[in-house]
Amino acid sequence: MASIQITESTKSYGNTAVLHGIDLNIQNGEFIVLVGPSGCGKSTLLRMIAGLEEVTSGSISINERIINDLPPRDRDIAMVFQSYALYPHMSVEENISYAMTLRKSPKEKIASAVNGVSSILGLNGLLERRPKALSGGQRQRVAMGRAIVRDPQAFLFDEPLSNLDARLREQMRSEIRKLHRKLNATSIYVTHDQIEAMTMADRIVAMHDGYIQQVGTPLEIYDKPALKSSHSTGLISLKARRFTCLTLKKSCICLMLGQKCGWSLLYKFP
Amino acid sequence: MTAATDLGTHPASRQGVTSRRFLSRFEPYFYAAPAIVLLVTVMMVPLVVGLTYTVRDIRILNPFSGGYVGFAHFEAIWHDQNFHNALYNTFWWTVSSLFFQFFLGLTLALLLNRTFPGRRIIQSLVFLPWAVPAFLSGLNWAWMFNPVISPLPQWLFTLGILSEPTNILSDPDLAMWGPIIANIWFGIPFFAITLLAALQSIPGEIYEAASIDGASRKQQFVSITLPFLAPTIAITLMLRTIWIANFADLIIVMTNGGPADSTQIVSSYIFTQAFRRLDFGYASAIAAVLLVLLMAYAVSIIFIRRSLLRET
Amino acid sequence: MAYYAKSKGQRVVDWSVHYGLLACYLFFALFPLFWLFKVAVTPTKLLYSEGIRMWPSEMTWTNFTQVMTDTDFPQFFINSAIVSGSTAFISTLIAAAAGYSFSRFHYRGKAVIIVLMLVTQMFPLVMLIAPIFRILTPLGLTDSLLGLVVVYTAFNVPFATFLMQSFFDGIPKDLEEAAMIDGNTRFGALVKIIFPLTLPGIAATLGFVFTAAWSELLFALMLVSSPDAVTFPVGLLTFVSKFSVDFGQMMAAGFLALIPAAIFFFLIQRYLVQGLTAGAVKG
Repeated sequence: MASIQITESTKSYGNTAVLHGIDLNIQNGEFIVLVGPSGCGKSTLLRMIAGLEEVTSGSISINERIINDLPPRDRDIAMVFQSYALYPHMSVEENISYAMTLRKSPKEKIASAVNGVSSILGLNGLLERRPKALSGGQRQRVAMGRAIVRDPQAFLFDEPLSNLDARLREQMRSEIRKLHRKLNATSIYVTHDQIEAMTMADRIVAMHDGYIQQVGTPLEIYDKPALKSSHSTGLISLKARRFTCLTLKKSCICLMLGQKCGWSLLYKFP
Repeated sequence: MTAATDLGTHPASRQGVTSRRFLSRFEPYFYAAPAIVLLVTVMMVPLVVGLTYTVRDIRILNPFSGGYVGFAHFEAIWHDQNFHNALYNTFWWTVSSLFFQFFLGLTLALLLNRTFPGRRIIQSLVFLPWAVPAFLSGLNWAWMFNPVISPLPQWLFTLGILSEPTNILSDPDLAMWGPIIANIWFGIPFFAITLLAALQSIPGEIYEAASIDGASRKQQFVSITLPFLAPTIAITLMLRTIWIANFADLIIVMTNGGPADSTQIVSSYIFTQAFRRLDFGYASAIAAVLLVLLMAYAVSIIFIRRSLLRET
Repeated sequence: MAYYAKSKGQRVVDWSVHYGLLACYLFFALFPLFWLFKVAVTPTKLLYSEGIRMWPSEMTWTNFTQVMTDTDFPQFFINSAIVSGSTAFISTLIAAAAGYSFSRFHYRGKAVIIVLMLVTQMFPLVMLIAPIFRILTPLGLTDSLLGLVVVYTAFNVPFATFLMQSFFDGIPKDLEEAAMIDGNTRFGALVKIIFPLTLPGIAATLGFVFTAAWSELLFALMLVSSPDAVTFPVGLLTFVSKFSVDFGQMMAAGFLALIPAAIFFFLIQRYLVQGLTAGAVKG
């Protein structure tokens, strides 16, 4: 388990700054949800923690050790991707055990770990299958299994449920929470779905335009939304739904501007 | 807002870190380097060297050659009847090959863009000429035009296309049609493949919507298919023009420019100058002229397209 | 195109025209190749007397066996195989590296490199014949298979790179990121995860380059003259002028030259149209 400190971290591509001086302290075992509209930098931040993006300035440390320049494989973190990123040429079992195989864990240990994980996630009958032969929900579980089996310092989730239908999403939401309670591992979860943020988080980190706007428990955020966030993103507060009309207009403009970033906020409103 | 107060630093790890950063910065160049080195040494350098040849007298058979001759080669080209003839032939060769390749290719693509029994096998057989090496296509068609071993001249005679069942490749008036027909045979699949791919990317619902709106098949072709294909057509036609103008293999194999230079195109003329007469200076000068002409063509096409787009 | 409700008569006419036209195309595409084969299996004594008969009254394989035993063609075939095989292997390796770099990284100078590669596809290659000949001669690379391999590799790398790039683009970036988090280096992820998924693309690239090198004539004519380095196209072309024309043997040899290209074609033709439409293999 790990605590994660992000100190004055910035990220820029050439002259374009994407993240401006991010400061965040994540406690051991906490479930943090990064929430905000597309292009706000939440995924970039997650990828910086994972080591998939370079940190332009500032520092990120895990357990008080600076890991800015550590390649992803040495950070001992696991990540669940939006696309699941399952290796299509490997069976479910191989997918789950790949990280342990790379670390040359003994065979018996891998086998028992895979067994444990597959019974937790209900993947027992599917171990021999290829990802292609799985349903969306099953793939999602394999992606989860691949992360859990490693018993990592921290879990990173990059919109892991956005490719599931509403019912499955709800079910997985509570399962992830249950898993978190059981494993009690530090988790950072990126989403743009406010309901996900409200129902899953220990603490929510609301981001906008490369800044952190507000950090707090779901209740705090519900009661006292930072003014800017409710207006400009229409995201955080459930109260913001009253401003749906206003937000929709703004979203449309953003949609035009941000099409290439895959803006999808618009569809999230009922 | 929470801020990290206690941040641990490990100065010891800094050393390895800088070299790792350095490596990761240069990683992409490392992957691309072999390709770049090869292209520069085997294509770019010879290209530049070739351009210097245009102002030098370089004949391999003449040990005293090598001197600077200024624009003498270009002057010679200006007065070279063979070159003028080759330029004229290049024009006909390119235009007629392209015309038939394109229309026959488009028709074939439209025929194949339906589901029908036997489609897959027909498609692979009809695309087969595309896989035949160019030199072999040339030889094959040279044999096809030979009345002694092929029925083709006899057929053409029966159909009234030829006045006598002779070999058209030895008739200066008709010889150009030999390589052109071989080129059409060889090039139809290319257009058909490209256009078929473009056709299949048109969503079927659009046609359904149009037919419900009352568009006839012809109207659909004009108002949906053609506009959708237009970008593909424009780019393939342009690239293909340049490619065909440069494509000397068929002519070299089938007629070697003859009879009486009636099938000599510019690129085969360049090859003849370099290969048979070993006059590299003159060959390079012609090549430079061809390059300039083709570039002018490409630029003017792009320019016309721009101004047309701006109008609409 | 969409389907339309039509009367039965109209449908019959429609499909007759459709199949009729396709039959014309098939005839035009296949007849020359059929004739190549027909002459190759016609005994020499019947060649002229039955010159325009659709099928000889007597069939023979002697032309093929003679080509294999009495001529230099086996040597040419081997030369061509060596040149094309090495060119395909080296080009694909280099192109895979460059294509990977184009697909996965953003870096300074990338646009310049891509434009440079596009330009090399545009200018007349005949322009390079003279300078390349003069550059290779002092290096001892004329009249050698190695020289041909170097030149062919350079010519084929740009196209092969774009092809490989499109295959890499078809593989989600997430996969190698997941592999890097799982404990691979970037290179390890490339070898263990991306490479197996690109195999169809690599095979297609190998095939394309192989056939291109197999067909190349002009540079081979210019650069090579001694029999132990002559490639198949050059051999076939000079065969025409050297001997009194033995059409049977020549066409038998030509038919043999067709085989590698045709095999490759039937392997990839399934992906041909599909690949152009969809971009590449998707996992």
